[in-house]
Amino acid sequence: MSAATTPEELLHQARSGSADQLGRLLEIYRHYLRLLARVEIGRSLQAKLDASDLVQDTLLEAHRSFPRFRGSSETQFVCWLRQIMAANLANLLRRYLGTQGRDVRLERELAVRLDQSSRILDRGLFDRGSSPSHQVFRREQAVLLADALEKLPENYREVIVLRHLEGLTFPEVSRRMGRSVDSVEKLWVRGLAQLRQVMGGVS
Amino acid sequence: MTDNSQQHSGPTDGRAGDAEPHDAILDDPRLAQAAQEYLGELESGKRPDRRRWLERYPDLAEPLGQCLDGLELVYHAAPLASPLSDHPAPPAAATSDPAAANPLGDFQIVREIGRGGMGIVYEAVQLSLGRRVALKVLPFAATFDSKHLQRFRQEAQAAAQLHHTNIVPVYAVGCERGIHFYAMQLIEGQSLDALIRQLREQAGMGPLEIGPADTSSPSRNRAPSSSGPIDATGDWSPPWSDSGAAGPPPTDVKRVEPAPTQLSSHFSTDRTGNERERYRTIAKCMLQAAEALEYAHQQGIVHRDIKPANLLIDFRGTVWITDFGLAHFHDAPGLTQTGDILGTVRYMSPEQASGQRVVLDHRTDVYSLAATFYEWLTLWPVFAGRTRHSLLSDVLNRDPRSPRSIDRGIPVELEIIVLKALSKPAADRYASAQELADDLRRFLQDEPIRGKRPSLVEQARKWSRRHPSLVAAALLVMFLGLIGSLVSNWLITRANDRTTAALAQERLRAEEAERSFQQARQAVDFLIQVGQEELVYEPPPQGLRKRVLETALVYYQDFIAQRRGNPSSQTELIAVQNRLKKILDDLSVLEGAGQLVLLSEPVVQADLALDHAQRKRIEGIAKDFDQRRSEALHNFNQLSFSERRSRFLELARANDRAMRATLAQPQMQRLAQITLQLQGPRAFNQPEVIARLRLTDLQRQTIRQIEMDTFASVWAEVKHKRPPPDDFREKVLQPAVEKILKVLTPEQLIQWKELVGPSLQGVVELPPPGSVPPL
Repeated sequence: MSAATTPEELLHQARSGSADQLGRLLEIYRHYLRLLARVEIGRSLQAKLDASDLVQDTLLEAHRSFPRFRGSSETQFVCWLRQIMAANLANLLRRYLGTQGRDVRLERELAVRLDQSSRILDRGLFDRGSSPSHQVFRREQAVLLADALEKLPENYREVIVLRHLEGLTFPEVSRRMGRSVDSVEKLWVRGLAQLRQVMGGVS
Repeated sequence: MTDNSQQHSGPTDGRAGDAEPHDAILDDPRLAQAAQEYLGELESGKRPDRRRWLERYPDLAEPLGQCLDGLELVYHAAPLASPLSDHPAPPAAATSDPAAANPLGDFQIVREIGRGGMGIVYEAVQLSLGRRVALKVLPFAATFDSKHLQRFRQEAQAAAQLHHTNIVPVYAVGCERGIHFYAMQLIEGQSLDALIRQLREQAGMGPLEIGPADTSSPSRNRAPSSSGPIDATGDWSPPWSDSGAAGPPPTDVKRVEPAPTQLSSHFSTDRTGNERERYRTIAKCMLQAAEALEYAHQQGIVHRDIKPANLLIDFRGTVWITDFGLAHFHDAPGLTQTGDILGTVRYMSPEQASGQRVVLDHRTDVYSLAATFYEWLTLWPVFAGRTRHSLLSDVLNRDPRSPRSIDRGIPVELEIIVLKALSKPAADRYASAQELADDLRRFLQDEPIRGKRPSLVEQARKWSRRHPSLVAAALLVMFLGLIGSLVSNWLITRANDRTTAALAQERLRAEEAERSFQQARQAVDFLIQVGQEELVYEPPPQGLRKRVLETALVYYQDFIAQRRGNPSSQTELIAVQNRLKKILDDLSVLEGAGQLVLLSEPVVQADLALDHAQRKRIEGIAKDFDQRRSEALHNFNQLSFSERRSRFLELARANDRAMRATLAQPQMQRLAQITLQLQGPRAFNQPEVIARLRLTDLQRQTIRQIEMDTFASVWAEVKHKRPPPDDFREKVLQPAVEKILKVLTPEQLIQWKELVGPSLQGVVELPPPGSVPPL
């Protein structure tokens, strides 16, 4: 994860057989994947499925399947990771449903959840850039954001994740967090201000 | 990226204030306010001017600047579920797209004309023929595995075989440089989606209010709805999409020429114009679409994604359905639910929305077409849910608002047609698009349509489906019971009038009575079904189930009595009787149980002055009875009819014997009195009461009227989905009885008082065992 080595370089080295570099490469995306996993799994399922487990499974699977990965850019790599995670999540849900027997309401709930998560997976943290290099920058930014969020105090992170990633309104966020709207907004302001510091002068 | 290393040096160890000189300032409420306004601008697709914000709050400039920076970071890096998608227009949309330079096979792209759920649509020229076409580029090239690709080709090719005046012809399906595309006729017109939006604007209704999760409503503004899908697949969009130029905001799918105002004025809601003509025009369009669907269904192709965005209307007012054979691919991996999610869910049939992997048949299109035209008629979506979740739940559980309650001008027939096609169970809809088309044609020719308002029974069924709780079932029992008595009143009236009324009138009445009878029978059959199937799961002692079955029994007995001696309905009678026998078997035992239940009530026990030993014995009998009944019910389905019958009868007799052995004669009589007291107006339908009081025909008619009024008041409550009052007996039944008593002569009153004896003091929770006469 050192700044000296770009993901592409790591990718290249990993491709030439360096298990070490593959490990480092995958590690870069842990926060990013966990953030996505968290949003995907959604609150209602959090008790049943653990985002960290999902991420761990995803990284393991990625490690195993790496030889089959054909891409060379970070974009492709992150997409590939997301696909693995989506498949893992689907499996987990299926298994969960399988052991629980049929519960139509739960299934419906899950279907909705899954739709949402796959939408998120699809849209991901990928924004269109106006040039290929800009795109890379954006993507990097998304992974950086996940890392930066990881560094915020939990309350701050929570507000930002709920508001911006789960797309809730402030009143909804306040209900979710069991705090007043006022205090949630203050946390938000603080979170944003600190985020900027954590990420440095990028803007 | 250059700051990659810096993130490690950020303040990770404390709260913001620790490293932040403006700690207190950060709590200034204006900051949150300003940041939210800024976010609002971002989310509505604008590019807020950062400087303006900072100038507005000079004293807060520094912390606000940090906030806005943070906000920009989050906002641009996390376009996930926030209500945005209005990022700067995707460059892939550029007119200077490199794709324009390189033909895709036979097709030279001219310009982008829209984006939809399934990809980008370009105007293109088919080089070999020199004709203009709409070229839809599908976004899944990279993620599709070969199996899906094959399926896509099959579907697309099947769709390409469709030749109908109201289906956009597909000219070619192809793949070039890994890009899959679909060439079709270029329709000079507008999507219904856009038309409805304009009509709303003209009507001063403004855009539909959209919730935060609703990133892709078809009606808010076109940028989000159409750019969504491409966001999702940006990675997989054609390799030539890396253009540096920013394109214009995407427009609606295949909205080719900027002349929509013409169209919308054509379909204007302007009330001064010929309003009726407007509805007829809509009906004509729906007719065209229904016929196109019927044609496709005949070819074995179900569209599965009928929605306003997939109906195009050209400048002659002709409707064109597009995107046949593509809906399946919304589910394809790597293409999951791209973009226009709500835009699709809104028009999903309940069977689609349920997410169960049922095979969708053509009736899903019938539903979606109706949902589409409902929106055109009313300018409101069938369900305006703001999140996918609430929409799904509405599609599954809520009945649509009647179109005429939104716009009184809508013809009744159109409302009936649309609502029938929107029925939740596919079986209640038109069986085919053709039937729908036929009814629309009848409407247009001013003939009576076939579709009908849901009958009382259907309403009851729908209602109970929506309110599956036991309370609801109990309510259902109550009002069906009242319907039943209402109907038997009809039957009695018919019998009474037979001697006096003119023959023609008699026939009318007879028909009406017959209809009512059929309806009542259906209602009671449904009741039985509830009792036999649904309420089996009620926990013991199954009080509600007993009540349901008891109610059914009472009405069956009424039916039998009323139909006896009517040779024209012998088969009917036999069928009813067979059913009755089955019910009787079940209930002979429950009747006794009903009296047992009543006897278990402390109030009744006190009234009958049961001594301690008697109470103990009643308790024992009840327990014993419950056990034997559950034994008898065990393997119920495996038992033959006669076995069941004999078991039940045996049980019933044992029960009856035990009770008679326990109670003294006066106590049995008193129990009968209490039973009558608790029956409310229905007591006056009991043969022994009628005989004892010698009620005249006139009196019985008046009594029936009172009963009907009672029914009407309860019905009104039920219709408004209010549960009956807890003191239903006092508030509703008791006043009705009082009214009836006023009809009686002094002699009859005396008789009545003897029949019911002194009032029971106290409240009985359970109703008496119906008006079931001893077997």
